[in-house]
Amino acid sequence: MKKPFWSILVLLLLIGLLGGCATSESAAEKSTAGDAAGETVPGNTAAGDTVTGGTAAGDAAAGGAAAENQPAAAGSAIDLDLTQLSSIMVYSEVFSMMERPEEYMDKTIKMAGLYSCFYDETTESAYHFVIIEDALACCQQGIEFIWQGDHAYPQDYPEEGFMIEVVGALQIYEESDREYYRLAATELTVK
Amino acid sequence: MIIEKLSLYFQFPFVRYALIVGVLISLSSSLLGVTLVLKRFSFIGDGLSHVAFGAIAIATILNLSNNMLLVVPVTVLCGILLLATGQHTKIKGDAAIALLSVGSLAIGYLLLNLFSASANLAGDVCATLFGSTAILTLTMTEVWLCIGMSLVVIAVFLLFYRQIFAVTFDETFAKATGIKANIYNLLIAVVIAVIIVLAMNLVGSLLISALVICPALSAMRVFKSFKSVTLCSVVISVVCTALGILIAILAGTPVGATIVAVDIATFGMFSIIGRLTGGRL
Repeated sequence: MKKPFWSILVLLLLIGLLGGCATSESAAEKSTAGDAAGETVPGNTAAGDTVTGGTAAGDAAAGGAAAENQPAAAGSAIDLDLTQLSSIMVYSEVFSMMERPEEYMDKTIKMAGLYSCFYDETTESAYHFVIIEDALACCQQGIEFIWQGDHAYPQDYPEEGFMIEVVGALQIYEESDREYYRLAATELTVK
Repeated sequence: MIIEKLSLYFQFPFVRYALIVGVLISLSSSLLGVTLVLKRFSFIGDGLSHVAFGAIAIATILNLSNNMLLVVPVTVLCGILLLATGQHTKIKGDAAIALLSVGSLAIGYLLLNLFSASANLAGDVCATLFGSTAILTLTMTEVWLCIGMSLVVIAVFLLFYRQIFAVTFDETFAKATGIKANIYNLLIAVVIAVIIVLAMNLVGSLLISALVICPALSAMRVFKSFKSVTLCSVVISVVCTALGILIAILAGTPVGATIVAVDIATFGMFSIIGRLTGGRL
């Protein structure tokens, strides 16, 4: 009886430690993604961005695991309508977008959240974000967007903290040898 | 309308994972819940998760690449100190748990405030303690990890059911019949500590305590034998967790708090049933 017992005990400890390692790694990944979003990492809205994965918003997105898995608004060009979900679902889905952005590339997404802006004085560029809070309002996910068309900041943009709704496609772009994700918004509505 | 909403939400993979993992964690924790309640260690879930919080704070400050290398051993050690040696120390039972719990929480938060470089300290602490959306933001690794750990916990409980039963009710008698009570106390301590560390990362401290205590107490209102209480506790725990998750995603409420609310409501319902039946089942 003793030997099997100790074997199980050692096995438990090993699994616990291995499990801890795996959990920690994934937690670290989450933290990175969450921080990147929550801290509203600035992107470049100036002309000359290298948009590597972007297409004009409204293009019909084809295939992909995300398209198969995510609910789309029936009869519309929107692949993923986050405005139809409960607040906790929106937060979780935006978290998923930050974790696995490649699955959402070029999908037309409609989302609502608080408007936030960061103005970088050194580059004289404005970076715009939609902020999604979790159910306890202690954690936030932010997605950068660029409002396509001829829109000047700050005249054409809402005040910070206003609830906005944007529609656009997720795209990747490079700045200072780093890759960033943002929504190429074709529509922006203040709610 | 609700069915339509649910069918829409179930198209999201993270909702399916949350349900699977939540059910498995609740199943595992409820198995040991009865033992902990009967041994007067109801508050150990809270105590050990606070210890884990303190260890996470230290690991964060030390910039450990893998903070679980510190968190798991520290929590297991404290679990052993509380459970396996609980009756032979000067500070016993609830006092020892309270001391470790508040001490770890206070020191962890203090250290984070003094040394953490996080941009959202309040958010990190809040998410760790309440796990508002943690279960909805799982990775596949975490899902498989939970499935594996739950199976191990269930296997341990089934393999050592008789010994755990004996140690739970009368340690002295168990020792007299040749059962190594200390070893089984150690086993219970290690298993519960590992469950708490894993579950804390997934659902937050608040949910862990509720998962451990509420189903067992509810079952005890109606049933009397160890076996029937344990089985009922498992059913209650699984149903309440599933219901809590579904309500949370539909209503947009924090998952952990919603599950606790369902658990408390179930406790009230079972108390009434217990009164009506005289607890004779």
